[in-house]
Order: sequence, then structure tokens, then C-alpha cells
Amino acid sequence: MEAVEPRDEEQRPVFSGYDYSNFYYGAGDDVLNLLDPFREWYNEARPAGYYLYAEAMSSAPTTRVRVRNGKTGREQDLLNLASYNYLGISYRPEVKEAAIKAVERYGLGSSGSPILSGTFDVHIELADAIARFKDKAAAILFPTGYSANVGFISAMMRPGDTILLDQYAHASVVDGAILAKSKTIFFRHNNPLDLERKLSGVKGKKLVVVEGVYSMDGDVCALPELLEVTRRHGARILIDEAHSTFLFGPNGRGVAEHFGLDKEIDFHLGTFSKSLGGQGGFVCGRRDLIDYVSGFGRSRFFSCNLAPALAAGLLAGVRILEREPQLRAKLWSNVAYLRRRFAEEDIDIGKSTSQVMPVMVNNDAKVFAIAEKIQDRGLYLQPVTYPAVPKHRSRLRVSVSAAHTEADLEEAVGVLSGVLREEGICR
Amino acid sequence: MSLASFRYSRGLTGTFELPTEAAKRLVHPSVEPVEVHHGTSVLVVSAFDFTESPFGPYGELVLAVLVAPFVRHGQVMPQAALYPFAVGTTNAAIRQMVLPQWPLPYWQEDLVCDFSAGEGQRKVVVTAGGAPSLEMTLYEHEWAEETQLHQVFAIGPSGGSAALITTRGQYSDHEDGRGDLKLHPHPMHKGLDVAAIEGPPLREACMAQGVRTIDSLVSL
Repeated sequence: MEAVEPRDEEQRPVFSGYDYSNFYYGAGDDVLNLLDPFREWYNEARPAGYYLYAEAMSSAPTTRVRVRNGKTGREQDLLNLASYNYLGISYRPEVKEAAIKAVERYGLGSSGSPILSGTFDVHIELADAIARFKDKAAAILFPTGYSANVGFISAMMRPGDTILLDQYAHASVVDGAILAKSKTIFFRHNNPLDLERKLSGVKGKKLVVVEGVYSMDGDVCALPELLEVTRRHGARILIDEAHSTFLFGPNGRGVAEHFGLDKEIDFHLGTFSKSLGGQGGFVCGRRDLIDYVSGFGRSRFFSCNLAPALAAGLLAGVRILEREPQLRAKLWSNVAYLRRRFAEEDIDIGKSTSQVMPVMVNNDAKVFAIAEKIQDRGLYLQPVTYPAVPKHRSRLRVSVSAAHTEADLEEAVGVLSGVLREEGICR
Repeated sequence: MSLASFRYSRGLTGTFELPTEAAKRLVHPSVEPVEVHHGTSVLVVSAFDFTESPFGPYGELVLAVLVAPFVRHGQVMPQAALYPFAVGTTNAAIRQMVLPQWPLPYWQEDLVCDFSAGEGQRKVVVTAGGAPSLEMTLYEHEWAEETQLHQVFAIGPSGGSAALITTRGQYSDHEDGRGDLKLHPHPMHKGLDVAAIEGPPLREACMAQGVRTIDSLVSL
């Protein structure tokens, strides 16, 4: 093919006419050819707002953080509504102490795969603790939440099987389905009628995958309705409770418990990185299931195990949750407070009914400037824009923590409402 | 430098989910459909009302699959690449003039493209050879001046070519899934598995008062 002539600079669309989705696909004869146009775009996009991603933090992710501004390099002390850490666990003294002691005892890492030499006593204790907390026979640990979904789904499903995913499923769920090489069908978000339509006539093994809380909208899975359709069609169901384990339900087991359906769900998956502010993922269920996944979960099998210090810190965190259910009560009290205040200030949080609240900006052209202004006024929040969310549905994602005080939340409302009014986003 | 300019009064482009296996049947094996989800590609339905062109005024309908753009070192990155599998026009002159240079899959009967606009919505009804072909209704969002840069592939029996096309004018798009596409059984799009088209539009784009230029046409 002859090269297409480069266009005059002034004829090119401006950088805002591009986004990450434009640089994913590129046919041609050299894998590096995409880098030139990508670099050209990114060199404009970064100072215009993309610098707000992955700014370096130099403090613990508590409610107040120190962040190095990605544009100016200046250190800023900010009120933090960006970190998960929904229960403020990761920096509790007993968690840090457990991790420090584990480092002294075990050293830095686990130095092996969990199925070979990388399993330590503290991993077994953590798996047992999480199984107990979730009221299941057994649990298996994964190095990350991502690897839990990828490993579990690809361990259970095969070519010729069918996996039905909510259209807003996390990338790890999608990647698990790709790795399983099963037929993958997406159903409309939280829509049992569409699931019904998509399941009709599907033969063979079928797995429906839903999430307890969806991470971009903060809405809760319509589990009773989706489960009823799933059962009627003889399918199995996996619930990824990454953003809901330890938070929802009378005992904090998750959205399945919240709906009284904990025993009806076939496969329960969760993470330690959200509510506990740590790292790692887990699957829990019957003993034979866990033994099977141990043998076939490649993302775990072929990874080094969680660092023992991390496992020890997580174990301390689970014990805090067991003895301090008031942390969940405090989180939900904070959520209720912030929802009320946002409503009073006419701040749109979409369909959120959880601790994840998207502050809707709905203006892709303005969202970075708004996020920059908000950070300049002392609030740490990330913008979320296309292609992570639909066009013109850009937002700022708020994560509420039990560790926030009402004064923290009021300060956040003040900054947000001030900037959003100035920018004409809310009245 | 542009090879040809076309001024339009209005245009509509809707994109729809189409299983990748169905999309692959519509494109040349040398191009790869873009996936919006794993296993799901994108059908593009685009209709324009050109008021000025080297061939006079005419209407155009393009049915295409979104494909991976061809990128070479130092080349401008198009925002999207299209592989048209059915193209119709209301004017035979353009087909006769373009076809020798650019092997687009033209439907050889004249179309009738009936554009209309209502409260925040735009519609096109297309008939070909007296038979209904399609109806597409799209909804507007906020309008702004925008420039779109697309690569358009065409591969015929004697080879293929790619054009870099710029569309500049008033533009409105959204992904709220409010619009609708009705495809009637018609030989113009006989290769398209109509039943496989999934749900409301992924994206609805309306265009007005703009210029489309073909900036380069290169042999594949």
C-alpha cells in the first residue's frame, strides 16, 4: 500500500477529537506505527487533563493525602475522595503492625507459586478467615481481583460454553471470558428482560456474570430478577462483589446477602483492594469447587502468591471487620449524608445507590478543566470520561469511606458545588 | 490538498452492534472489524444530503463495518476506518465517475433518500428501485463545529484503495441509545444478517451545514 500523504497540521482534528479508543486498533506492517500518532496526541492530551491520572501520592491513602501535581510537580495536600478504602482499614495501626511483623518473619515476598512453594501459614489463615466471614466452606486467594475473575472464569468455562455478561462488566470479567474461549454474549445493563432474550435457546453450559455494585455508576445489581431468569434457563451465576463485599448485607457478606440470596448464588468472588484497601482477590464456595479452581486457575497457578506481609495485613483487616460492624454503619451513615447534601446542592449522582457516587458532569469537553479546578481547591477526585463511560456521560467518581468525617464530606460538597455552579453544570 | 469537495446540508450516521462473525462476512479478509465488546463489531449506517459536488446535488447511503485503520509510520491517524459493503446514491453520474477510480460496492439503481427533521430528531427513509430499503431515526444532542477524519476502504476484483476523508461542519452525537433502525428485506444489503443487528444505536451522530473532502486516494 502506498503511504497516505500527511495532512497539513491545521487540517487535523484537534486532540480533543481523539481519545484512547482511537489508538487501540491499527493495521499495518509494523507494531510500532501506532506510537507516533499516539505520542503526538498524548503530548497534547496530558497537559490538557490526562495528567490528572496516576499522579504520585506520597502519603497513606487516608482521608487526607499528599499528591504531586502531574502538571506542575508541586506537592498538594488534598481531601481524598478518590481512593477505595471504603472502611478505612489499610492504615489502621493493627493492620500496619501485622504487616510489619510479617515482613520481619517472612521477608518481602512469597518466592513461589501458591501451588508449589509460595503458600505460607498466613495465606491459609486468610483463606479460612474469608471463608468464615462469607459463610462458605472454603476460599481460594488470587494475587489481584483482576486475576481472580480471569482465573476463575477461565478455570470453569470452555470453548463451546456460553458466558453471558452484563454490558458494564469489569474488564477482568471480559478478559476471563476471552481466555475461556467460550461464546460471549453481553446483555443490557441490569436488564433481566434482555438476559431472558439472550438466554433463550442457548444450549450447553451457561454462566451468567454480574457485579454486586457497578464501579462506574455505583448502582446495585438487580440480583433477584436476574437470578430468577438465570435459574429458569438452567444457567449458573457468578457474582463479583469487588465493590460490595464487607459492606452490604446484615453481616457484610455482600449484595447477595443484602437480597437474602447468598445461598442461591453459585459462585462468589471478591477483592481485598476495595473495602480493605489492600490487594488481592478471592473466590469462595464449596470445597470441591475451590480444589478444582486451585488446579485450573491459571492466573493464580502461574503467578507468585500474595506477599505474606500483605496477607497478614489483610487478615488483621478481616478481624477488625468481624469485631467492628459499626464501621459499616458509619459508612452507610456517610453515604446517606452525602446523598442528602448532593441532592440539596442539585448535584447529579446518576443511579448510584452505594458508596460509589458518580458526580455527573455530562460534558466531555469540560470535565478535565473542572477536575483540575477541583484539585486546585483541595479535593482529590479523578475524572472519568469516554471511552470508560458513554460519550457525554463524563463524571467525577467519588468513593465514600467510613473514615470520612461529616466535616470532610461537607468540605467536599462545598468544593464540588462551587466549581460545578461556576461551570454551569448545576444550578 | 483535496481531490474533491462535497458540501452537505444534513447527514445522519448511526452505529449498531453486530456480531463479529456476521461483520467478518461483510468485509474483505484483509481487513479486521473493530470490536466494541469481545465478539461484537460495529455496523455503520450513514446517509448524507449533498447540495454541491462535482456531480451536482445528490443523496448517498453507505452501509459499512467499522474496521481497523491502516497506519504507516508518519501517517496521520484517522479517528475511524470504514469498510463499506453497500453504497447507494440518488444520482447515477457519481457512480459512473467514481467507480473506475474507487471500487466502492455501488448499488446500481438510483435511491430516493427522504430526509426529515422533527423535535430534536432526524430521520431518513431510503427506497431503492421502488422498494423500501431502510428507515433510520436518530436523536440530536448539543451541536458544535467539528472535524472528523475517516479512512474508507474499498477492495474490488482488480485491487483496492483507501481514501482519507474529512468531514467538517456542525456535529452532534451521543450514546443514549434513543434512535432506531428499520432495515427492510432488500437486495442492496442482502449480505447483512438483519436479525443479528443488536438493539438501539451505539452512537447517534447528526451533521449539518458542512463540507466533506476526499484528501487522498491510494491504491492498496
